[in-house]
Amino acid sequence: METLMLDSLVIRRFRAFRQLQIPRLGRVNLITGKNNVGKSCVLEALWLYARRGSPSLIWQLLGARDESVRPYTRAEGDTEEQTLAIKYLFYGRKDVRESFEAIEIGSLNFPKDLLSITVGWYAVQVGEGGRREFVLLQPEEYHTAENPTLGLRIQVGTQEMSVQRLDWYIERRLTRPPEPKGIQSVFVPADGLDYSQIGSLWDAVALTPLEEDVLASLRIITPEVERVNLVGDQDFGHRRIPTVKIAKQEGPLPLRSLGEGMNRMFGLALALVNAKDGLLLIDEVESGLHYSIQPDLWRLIFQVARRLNVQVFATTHSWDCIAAFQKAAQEDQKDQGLLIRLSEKAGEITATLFDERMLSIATREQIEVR
Amino acid sequence: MADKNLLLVEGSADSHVVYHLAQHYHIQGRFAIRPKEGVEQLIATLDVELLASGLERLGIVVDADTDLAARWQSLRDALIRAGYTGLPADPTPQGTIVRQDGLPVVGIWIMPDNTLPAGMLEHFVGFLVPEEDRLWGRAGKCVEDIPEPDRRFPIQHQAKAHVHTWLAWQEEPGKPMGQAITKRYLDADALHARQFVEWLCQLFEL
Repeated sequence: METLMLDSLVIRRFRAFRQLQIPRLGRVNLITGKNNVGKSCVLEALWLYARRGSPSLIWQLLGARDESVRPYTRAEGDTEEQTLAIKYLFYGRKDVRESFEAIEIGSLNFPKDLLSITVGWYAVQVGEGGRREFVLLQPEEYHTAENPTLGLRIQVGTQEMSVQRLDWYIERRLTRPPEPKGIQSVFVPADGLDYSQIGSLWDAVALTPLEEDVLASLRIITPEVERVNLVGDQDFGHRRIPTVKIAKQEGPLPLRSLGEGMNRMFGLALALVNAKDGLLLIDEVESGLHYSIQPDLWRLIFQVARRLNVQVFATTHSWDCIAAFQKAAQEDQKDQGLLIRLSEKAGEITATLFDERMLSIATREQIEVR
Repeated sequence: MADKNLLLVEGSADSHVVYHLAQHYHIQGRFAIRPKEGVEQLIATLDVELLASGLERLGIVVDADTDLAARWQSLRDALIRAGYTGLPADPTPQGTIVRQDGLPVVGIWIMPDNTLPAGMLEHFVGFLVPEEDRLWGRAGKCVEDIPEPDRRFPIQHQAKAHVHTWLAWQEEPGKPMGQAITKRYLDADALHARQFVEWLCQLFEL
């Protein structure tokens, strides 16, 4: 098999995972398991990994779960308030002011290149020319240091990506640190992409050969689709509406008028072709899609992912979706597909892997893989 | 649906015998029985069976056939590949049970009794024939006396022919082995039956 972006995965101390190890990954990975075993957390971890721990993504992830708690008091030095939100990222929501243990995400086989996120204590020192500098304090130093301050520290391997002061709540929101250059990645939430995301993904592929892949996806549901475009004026707050031309019909039709499935498919296909040489992350991939079209969706994903060198991670809790995936994986026979079942045993979440051979046995013998 | 307790057997004959024995001992329904298409297929799919979600205990019932040691070895190899480390070198006479942290408990019963170097389900059924039965010996002699050119079954299936000949001579001729237990042609309280059921109870914690 050709090289994948990630050959294996380890996630330590992130959200539901004390330590999750997945010794190998496929090109197309479907993650299943009961509610609350952390299927979406895996996608979040992968996204953070791809974006090199981007601080704006961290706050976006916390916000999406209503966890970006604002400090209500402005009492200076209330470090408990300052770490209220960030605690949610850490396993067991530990007091991050005391634990100093790092969230780590990356390949099991490249332990020196892990993304790590820690909370640390810093001393503010005035350096040459009056510039303020932050110096990381050792655990034994911060108790005695004068006015130590908390910082969120992000590293890839030994390379420091950024340190964000946690006491400067307002400033944090006002200044956007430059986005670190990471791996191309597109995340599709369960409730789909919004109009502006759709717009920018479309603009990136419009009038390129990748348009054909997007059209192919729409034709899975509606074979009569001839062309697709985004129509409208995006200035003045107007939305650009995905619009299609259908064979034997005069004018263009709004995509949504053909059903929510078309809209979902459009978003998935745009995300797929935009994830070229990168990661595509899909939460609840089956959402909005009738089971009968799911095998074709997976066939398209397998084929395009291989051609464009995309590594796909999707979550599901639908049996139909797994069956469709099994079918496409079996036909594919290139050993690209991997089903990952997360389950909880004695408080620990572990991954069970089913490759294409095992999936075909499971289908034939009716072995429960969910 | 996911089964917590699952017993894999070679085929439908085995599954019927186990079912009727379990019924006699009132443990029927406490574990699922799944017949496979032969021992080769059972072993080839074992690694995936062990990963079934929710599975806690898995039993395996196979025949020794012509070579107990070879059968044991192939099962042992498959289980080692699946991550089991504490497998004994030889099958336990009372039925093997292997426990491994983080993996389902596995039980192995090799027909007929985990010790005979060769044998199959029909030998086990033969042990359940009441001791005073007068037809058993006669049926055996009948089968043995078939002249070589007239014998249509391979010699290693002689026990099968013996059991089915005997079953043909019961009150209701030709009942399958499983039903012969319920009909009480076979003695479900015989020593070998009790040992087998004891293994099932230990394995499935019944």
